[in-house]
Amino acid sequence: METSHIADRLIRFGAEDGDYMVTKSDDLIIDFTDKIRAIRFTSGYTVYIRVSVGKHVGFYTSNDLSPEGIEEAAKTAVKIAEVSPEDPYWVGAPRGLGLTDVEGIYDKRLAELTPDEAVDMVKSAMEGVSTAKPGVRPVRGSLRINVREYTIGNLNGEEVSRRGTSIFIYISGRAEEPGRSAVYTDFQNSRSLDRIKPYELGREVGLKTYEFLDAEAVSTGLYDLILDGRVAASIFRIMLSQAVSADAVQMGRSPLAGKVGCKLLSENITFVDDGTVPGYVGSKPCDDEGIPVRRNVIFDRGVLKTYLYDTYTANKENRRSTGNAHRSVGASTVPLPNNLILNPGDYTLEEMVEDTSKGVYVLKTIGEWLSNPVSGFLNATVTHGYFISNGSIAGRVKGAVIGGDFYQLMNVKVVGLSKELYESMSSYSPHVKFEKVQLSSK
Amino acid sequence: MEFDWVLEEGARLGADYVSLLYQETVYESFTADNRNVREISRRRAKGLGIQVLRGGGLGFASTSTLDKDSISRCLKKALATASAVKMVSETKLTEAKPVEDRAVSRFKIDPLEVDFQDKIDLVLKANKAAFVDPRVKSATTRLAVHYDRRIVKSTEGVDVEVKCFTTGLSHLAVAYEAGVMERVLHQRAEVAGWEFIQESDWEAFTTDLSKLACKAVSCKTPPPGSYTVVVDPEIIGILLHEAFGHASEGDLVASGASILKGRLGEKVASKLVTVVDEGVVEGGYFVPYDDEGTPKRRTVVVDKGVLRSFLTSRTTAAELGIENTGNGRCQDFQNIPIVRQTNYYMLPGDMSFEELLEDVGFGIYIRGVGATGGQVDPGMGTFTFSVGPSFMIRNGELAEMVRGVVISGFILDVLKGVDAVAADLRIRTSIFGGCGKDGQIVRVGFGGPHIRVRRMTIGGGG
Repeated sequence: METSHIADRLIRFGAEDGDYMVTKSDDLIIDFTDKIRAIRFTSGYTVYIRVSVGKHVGFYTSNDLSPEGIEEAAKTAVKIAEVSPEDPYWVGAPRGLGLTDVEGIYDKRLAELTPDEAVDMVKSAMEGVSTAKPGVRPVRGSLRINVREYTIGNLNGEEVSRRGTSIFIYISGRAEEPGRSAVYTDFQNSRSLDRIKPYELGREVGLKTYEFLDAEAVSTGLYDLILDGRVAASIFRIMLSQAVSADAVQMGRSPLAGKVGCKLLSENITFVDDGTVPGYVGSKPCDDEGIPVRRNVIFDRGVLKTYLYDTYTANKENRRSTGNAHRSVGASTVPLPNNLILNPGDYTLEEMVEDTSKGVYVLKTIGEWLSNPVSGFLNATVTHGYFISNGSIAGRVKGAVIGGDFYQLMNVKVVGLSKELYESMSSYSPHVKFEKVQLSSK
Repeated sequence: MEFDWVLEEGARLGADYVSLLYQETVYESFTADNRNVREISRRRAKGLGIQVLRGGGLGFASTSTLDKDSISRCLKKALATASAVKMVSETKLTEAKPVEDRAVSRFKIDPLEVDFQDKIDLVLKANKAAFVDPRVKSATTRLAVHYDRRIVKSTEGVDVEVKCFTTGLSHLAVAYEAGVMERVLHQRAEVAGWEFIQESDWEAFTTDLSKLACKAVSCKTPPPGSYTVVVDPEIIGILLHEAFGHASEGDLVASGASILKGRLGEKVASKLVTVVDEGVVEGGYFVPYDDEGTPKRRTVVVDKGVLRSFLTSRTTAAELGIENTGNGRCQDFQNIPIVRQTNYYMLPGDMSFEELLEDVGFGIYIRGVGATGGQVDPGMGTFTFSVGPSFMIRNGELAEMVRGVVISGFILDVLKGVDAVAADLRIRTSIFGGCGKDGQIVRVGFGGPHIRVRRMTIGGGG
């Protein structure tokens, strides 16, 4: 990618400070139902520009990297900055760009995968579903392979680049018998090809789909809950990503504002943000401002230690960025976790189930993103779960709503964490067990 | 248009069918946060998507670099993917009627021509007006302007251009009282020019939302359980769209991922329920043609409780052996059209809102202002939605406000439980978000009248 002319153009049109990020993205996508629908290649650039004239800041995003496109982008960005009111908190664009050494985030084999090889992976996943049990078939899915290059620079002449690959596959199975049906979906997400096992994914989906034909509603009441690691990871991402962001804190939109140093969660709970873990979905050598990523301990044994910062929010508090800038579509940045990780405990899932007299092991939920991270109110609907009675699985359940105060759950109701971590959209968690949680049903 | 040669070149290289989508889009956003301007941004994109059919294989590629060499490479990639697909599955298309048309959404003042300064002044004023109460701890106001131009051309004689302007404003109010924080997010948008922004009272809009957040922060959540529920037009709109609309999309039906599969002609709702999908309707988004160049007219999906039609694109209509309803839509030139709703809504009845309340001894009136959305499993028919601050109903009258209300259930149970439908139809669209499916987001419209449902599960209670 030729990007060196961007800074020159910005300066020529009157920018005094600023930075830019250019991404080149190549995607190979296969959408399928019970058969492959289409394969598509998409390829394109995005240019994100942030410039300042004095304390006036402007933003511009475009997908045109041609010389004329950059000329237009630079001119418009500066014009926007000039008409914007002064931002009293603007100190300047990031300085000190650099890279942390992070492994396992670019896979050459994945970057060079052909459409035919991708088709074979999809066929394996579909075969896994349809051969798992009679009457079960694949109904929906997608395989997405992404290769992305980033170049991040500033008007001070600094520039860094990073690149990464990712692969994501999901597949849904459906089982039908007279008077009853079931659907089950699962996914695999990785930075490299060797961690994706399409057939095994499909087979697991097929088995689970069949198994949940006999799922029933549970009655409203208090249950011990074991959240599958992926469900827990998804919930933590939704409830904490914004809450630990210095932006939400400074703007008065976080329940964690003013609580650094306070013990808010159980002492079993240590959350870290770590963008350096090899092969993790959110790992990268630098953030979207070019600041090297690092490991940040957010909650240490229940005590809130820090918020996450980009350069802008860090400047407001006269401190340094934690390497968590994420560039929004509008070209400004917001601090968010790179990989949000709940440190594991020492239970096995089997031990957690054995220790439960009346409970539900929650395998899948929908709607957790409807929870309210500002008030801390958690909401999720269990679509697939196992009913636990006297230490063993006694049936399958669906359609119950989990509701409650997230911070109370994580403080006084959490009683156990499993040994392994599971991922959901760059959030990582073990299985988590809670005592006496309200489940609502019809 | 300068891309006609692509159609000819595609045919020469062996494509049975070539379709192009050229798109230009501009999105301006002006954000004020806690009395200061936070971000002014402009996003501009243009590019070309090429879809080809060769020997039954459907291939696609896109490019944002529009020189001849890049487009040629893009065409060849599309043909290569078509060849990979045809080895494993065959796609058929319904016949497309040749059509040539230029459609422009209604507007008086081009919002992109309006001075940046006017937009900054408006959003800042609206944001500052929101601090009406010391309990308001945070307020974010966002003004947005969107221009979308699409040209669809195909080797079958389709040549359609659709231009659309959308404008709107959103506001997030966060209130804090006695250790409790509550947020209310709402937006208003229309397919219109700057006149929609000019003619609305945005200071009143943000003030009202702040007051609502302040009132909600001290409210209780209702005890979980089963209630008689009166549903407002926004919630019935989003509920229908998410929990029923997706299940009526032909691709989900064809693959068996819909609870409505095999149910055409069956009773799926109360006889009071009629649901349509319509491309151009007051208050909704502007879809006179879909992204395959098919005219989008009114499709009656449910007629007096009976399932009458599914929504289809050219591929799904061929697969299901039914009519193409013009619902093949894509997010942008980088995506392939898939079956999407346009403006999906319930037709009104003849009762008043008061009459809906009259018969309710104890229930809840659930409202959309401040709702955060919903999620469904169209294969199971289950849904869960977080609605805005709502009201208990006692002895036929609205009583105290409640917050944190979450509804969930099985959509067919809900629609069969509709026992009253009001006359007050309202349809809305959004400029800040849209409907997501298969990684693509498209703008939609949704709505309906107030309705009453005899039994619905209410969660919350925390």
